[in-house]
Amino acid sequence: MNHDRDHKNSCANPGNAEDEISRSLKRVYDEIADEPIPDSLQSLLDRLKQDRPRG
Amino acid sequence: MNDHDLRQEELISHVPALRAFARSLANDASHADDLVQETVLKAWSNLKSYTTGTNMRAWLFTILRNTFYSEFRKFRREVEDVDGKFAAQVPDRAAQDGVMDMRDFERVFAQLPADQREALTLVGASGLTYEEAATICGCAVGTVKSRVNRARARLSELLGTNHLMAEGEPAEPDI
Repeated sequence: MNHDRDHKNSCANPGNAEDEISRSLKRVYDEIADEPIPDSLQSLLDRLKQDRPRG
Repeated sequence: MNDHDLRQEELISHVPALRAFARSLANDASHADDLVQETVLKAWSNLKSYTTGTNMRAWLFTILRNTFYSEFRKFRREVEDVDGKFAAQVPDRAAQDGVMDMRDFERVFAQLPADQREALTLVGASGLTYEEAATICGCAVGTVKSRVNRARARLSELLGTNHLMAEGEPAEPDI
């Protein structure tokens, strides 16, 4: 897994630690953002859109 | 599609980012999604107060953050946690219980204080400027910078320590 490899590389070379933190942080953030929206939240969004006044 | 409809569409487009930011605060997927739901409802009903052309993501993050801390204050009052010891443990409880299947980084990230997780997420992952993050957090730019620096230093320390522990673990003896 790239995450594990990046982690080990940065620990072997402490100068890379900050870059590894930025990469890992962004990866975790993006993974959560890319997750499918849970059904309960999607239902809420659908309901709000349906209730939107027209015209 | 009128201006109000466009705002609503823009709001919906920020839901994934809201979920990621909420997770950094709540440390628990279910609680984070509850926060997002509440934020969407509040924002949807207050869209008229949003100024077109400003940063909607920052506006939504502010609503979510205020919701989180207002719940947190309410919770603290309810449990009469006078010295704050219990409250200080709440953000980390899920990780400590092993409820969430977190990988190394997420587990270590969860050990940071909430204000540091928040600052690092806003600046390091959400792509907001220090100024925008400071507005969302209601503090000075220097405070955000300081939190980010402390968070990075602590993460470096924890990741390094964890790695050394893993490397230094004795092998199981052959019996």
